[in-house]
Amino acid sequence: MKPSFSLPANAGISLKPEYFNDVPQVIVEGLWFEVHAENYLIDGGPRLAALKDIAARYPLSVHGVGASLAGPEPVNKRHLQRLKKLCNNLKVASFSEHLAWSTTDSHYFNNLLPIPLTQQTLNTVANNVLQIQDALQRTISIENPANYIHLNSDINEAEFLMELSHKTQCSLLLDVNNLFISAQNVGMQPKKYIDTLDLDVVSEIHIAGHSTDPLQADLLIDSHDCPVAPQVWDLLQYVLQQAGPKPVLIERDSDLPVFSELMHERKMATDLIQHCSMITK
Amino acid sequence: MTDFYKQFEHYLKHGDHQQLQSFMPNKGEENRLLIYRNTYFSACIDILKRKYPSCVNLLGDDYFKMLARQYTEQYIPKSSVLAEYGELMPDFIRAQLKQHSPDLEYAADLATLDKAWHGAYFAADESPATAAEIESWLEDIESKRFALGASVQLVENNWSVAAIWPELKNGLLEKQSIVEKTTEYTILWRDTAQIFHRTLPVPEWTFIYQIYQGNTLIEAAEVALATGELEISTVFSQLLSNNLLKEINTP
Repeated sequence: MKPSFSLPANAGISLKPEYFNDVPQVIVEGLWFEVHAENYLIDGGPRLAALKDIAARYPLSVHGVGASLAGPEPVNKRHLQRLKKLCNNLKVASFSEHLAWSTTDSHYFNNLLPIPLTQQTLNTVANNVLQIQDALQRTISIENPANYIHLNSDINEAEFLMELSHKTQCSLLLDVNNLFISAQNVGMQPKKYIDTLDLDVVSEIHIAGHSTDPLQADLLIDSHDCPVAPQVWDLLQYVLQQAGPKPVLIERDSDLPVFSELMHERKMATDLIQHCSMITK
Repeated sequence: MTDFYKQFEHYLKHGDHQQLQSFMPNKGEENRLLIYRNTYFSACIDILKRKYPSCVNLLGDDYFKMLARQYTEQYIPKSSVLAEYGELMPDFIRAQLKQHSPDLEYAADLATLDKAWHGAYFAADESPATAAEIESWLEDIESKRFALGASVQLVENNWSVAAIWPELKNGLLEKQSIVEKTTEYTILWRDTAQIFHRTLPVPEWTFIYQIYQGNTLIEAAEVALATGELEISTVFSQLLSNNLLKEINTP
């Protein structure tokens, strides 16, 4: 099985079709991109063609949001086939998904829904991860969620993810913004969380902007609609100091700025990766 | 765990979190569940806005969002591929506007064109027929059956909206236009990265539609010519030159 550790230990940008024409023709060293799988599970057309062209020039990470790994059903077979087709058609450096669910019976709730962390959930998620890895013939990465509520759980999240990695050989996608949000919303302790993880199995890191819920001032939302907050940069620095260089993605999904603004944030991440790399050496 | 999923689904659909509270140890967090419900609805509405831009521009953002919210409550996505969501929106808009704003009923026909554009844009890529293939088609051509290319969309509308649709799709109408209640036939297709559309007179529409239904060229021509005058060879040449035909190989 192919490992999913082939992204460069450098900073990447989440790629929206709005940016296709901005992607540098002259290769920028270390630059990589990430796209949401479900936006490209299509038959053909200009969008897929443009992505193929970019994937031929830059490392591409495919980030799934619809497999419903923690859901009540096994991963939908048609969905799996479509993921497989996409990963076979593109030169994909990495595939990741979420510790979340979104599907029941024939309904898809277009959201990353929370789940109580129990042994039963662990078995369910592990089976689904194995199912995807088997279909894609590669290990995948699993992302920690942004938590908004407490649910009755038996296992803490960091231990759950480590156990999942042991059971399936999946790697972890550590979303530092999600961790920061979870700390504010449900009282997680970020540094304790990070120290619980075996950072060798973290294959990718996400950072993004967040916002405050307009109705509940004490609730942070994983909105991806603004620049990365200073506290998230600080937390990223802590992770990189412990882990050494890792691929770091600047996520942006709405209120899209001009491409150069994202490249500026990417430069900040690149500098931080290099800086921490020198310290950890 | 089955109960948890059921109760969460119930909450997302109906907003009632009573039964879900047994899974939540901290009292007072119920309001936070709204983030999941609101995000779900707003994501669906956003997809519909992207898929039906001419309707958004005709009806206005608020009115369209209200219709989209009602649609989302009635039709939950069935697939994680959200480009496939909202296929019934034109009919839904027609039913709603007929009841509440009959003077805007033609918005449903704009939606039909938006949906067709979407279908053409994301259709499978196809290689054009080779010269040798086209030459082989010309042998005994009248009895040949053809399929239309994957990107071809045939739209039959009740209102004459094709003239205003491109402008509305990309923004607001610059000047007042008259939309008449009359059957309008439009073909859309993709050539490389561009979507083209053309309104068709009845005989031309009939000929192409008969081909689409799997009839032989001679059968299609007979039905089309019964509706009016048509230069069959010209239409066939246009279909060929735009790579809109592929032969159906019958055993």
